[in-house]
Amino acid sequence: MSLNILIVDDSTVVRMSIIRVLKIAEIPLDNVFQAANGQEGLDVLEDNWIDMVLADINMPVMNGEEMIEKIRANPMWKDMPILVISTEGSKTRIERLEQKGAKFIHKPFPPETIREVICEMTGINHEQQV
Amino acid sequence: MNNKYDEELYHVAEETFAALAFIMPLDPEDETPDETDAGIIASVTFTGEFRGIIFLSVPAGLLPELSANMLGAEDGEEPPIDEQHDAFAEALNVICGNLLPIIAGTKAVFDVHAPKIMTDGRIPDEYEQYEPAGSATLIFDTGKADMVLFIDKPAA
Repeated sequence: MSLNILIVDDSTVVRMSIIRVLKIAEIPLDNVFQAANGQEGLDVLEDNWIDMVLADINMPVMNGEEMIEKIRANPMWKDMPILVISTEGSKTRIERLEQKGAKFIHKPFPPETIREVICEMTGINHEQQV
Repeated sequence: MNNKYDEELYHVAEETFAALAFIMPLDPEDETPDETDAGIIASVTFTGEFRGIIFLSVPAGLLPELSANMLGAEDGEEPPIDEQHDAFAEALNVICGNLLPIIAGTKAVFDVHAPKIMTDGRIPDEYEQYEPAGSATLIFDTGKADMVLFIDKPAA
């Protein structure tokens, strides 16, 4: 099984570096879609089959928290695995995101962390991929 | 300088450069900062429990290494200038995001706004009248990186 992943972050370099980390972590990837804010992320979700969303919180136009709320409000995406990758340090906000069914990884992070979390969230058995 | 959050700022910045781009500062006791390269400045503002701004200036020569390492570029491959600036802004974003829970606690909620690159290469004069809450200098092979934190002051 290979994953269609959507990365939502307003920084091109962050999106590119996340893709690099996914490859280093040997996550099996099919298509990787990118969006620069929450609204663009929702547009990509409308038009494509996505297995998992990786998102930042602080973004212009529509932030990550609002995007997650809209994803959860859509019956088609209510169970979508969402991983927030952010510098967010507030436990209050992290708990709020977790209550919305998102997992959280704090930046900066090592490739092993992202591999473990994605394998856990998607059910991918990493050992079968390498 | 000897401000309240100098040490916190130094350690967060040191860890950020190391973790994001594998760039380690030199020992400040063994090295003399290079004053020749004015470099480039970015600022990031935050609002929430309190508001403030962090300025980060780095030698221009650091940006190709920072961005290339963050992107995993091949040896000698230099990312375009917009990606260098983007990487620089992200480094400051990570410094700010990791500093705030240290100085305000993990219950405090902040909005960290998008970092801005300031092409004139200097902190606006209006900040001269304020006492920083923190300042730190990291010394790299390419020169020194200076950080200044102002709290509860108007954003630039």
